[in-house]
Amino acid sequence: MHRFANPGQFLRLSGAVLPWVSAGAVVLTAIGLTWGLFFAPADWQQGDAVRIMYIHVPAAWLASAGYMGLAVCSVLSLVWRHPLADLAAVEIGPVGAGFTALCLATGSLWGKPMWGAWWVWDARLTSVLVLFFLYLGHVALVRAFDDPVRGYRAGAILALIGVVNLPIIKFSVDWWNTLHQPDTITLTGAPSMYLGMLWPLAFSTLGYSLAFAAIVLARTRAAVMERRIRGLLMARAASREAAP
Amino acid sequence: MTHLPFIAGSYALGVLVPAGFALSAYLRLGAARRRLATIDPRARDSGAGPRARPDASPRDRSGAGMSDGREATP
Repeated sequence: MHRFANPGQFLRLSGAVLPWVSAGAVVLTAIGLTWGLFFAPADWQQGDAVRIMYIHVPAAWLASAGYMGLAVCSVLSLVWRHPLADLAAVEIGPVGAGFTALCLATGSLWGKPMWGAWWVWDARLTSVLVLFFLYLGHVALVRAFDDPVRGYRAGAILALIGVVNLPIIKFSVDWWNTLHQPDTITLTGAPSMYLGMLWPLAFSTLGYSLAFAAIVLARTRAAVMERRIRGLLMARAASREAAP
Repeated sequence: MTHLPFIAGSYALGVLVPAGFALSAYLRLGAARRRLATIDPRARDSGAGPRARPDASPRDRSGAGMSDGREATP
């Protein structure tokens, strides 16, 4: 595990994987969105507004999955003090916040024609809004200290505390009487969705997931390089000062 | 198509948000790569920088090249 997570190895592996992940993301997202927008059937009740699902559902999935990735990095950071996990957590934060904002915005655009309101203080919507604030809190906290290591530790603790919100998001539609619909796709049961809608949704979800992974990989690569640059510059300055 | 403005707005956001993140990551990565190649010639050759020593401990290996330079300051 450590062998693959050392920065040099990470740069080499991620450099080889990144073009394929990026290309897969572009192709699958394009297929999913084109299929969803032009070829998938409209819903008998919601009409064409259901096509917002092909963006809203992947964004919602990535908002939660990204936070889970942040929590895993936080565990690695707190338990093994792994510097690569620190950098990955810092880079996941803004991307997760962006996808959570996308989920909230598309949900709002879907809610207005269906519910007649841009926003309701429904348990699902409110818990996702809390997730968005947790992301923003993490982004702010890791940058709030002069000593970056203290920022990483504080951010990791916040991320782990916030994990309690993930099951609340997942089960909010079961625990409370919400305006938001219950899950259509579950791990245990068969999906209660027409296959002509399920396939484009699968493509766009996979495409967006690969896009999220590619963006985080690229940002983490850049962060590793920037840190190495800072280290080299500091070492140079120190050797210059030490020279007679 | 019904509800067209809502659908168009959603698809615009659905393309622009990931594309914005991807573009900023691409530009940042390119800038870091050029800067590192200027400072460290080894990075120019491999595109990834120096390898960790094979005999290094897991802790050393995980931290190889990750210094932010604080330990180098007096």
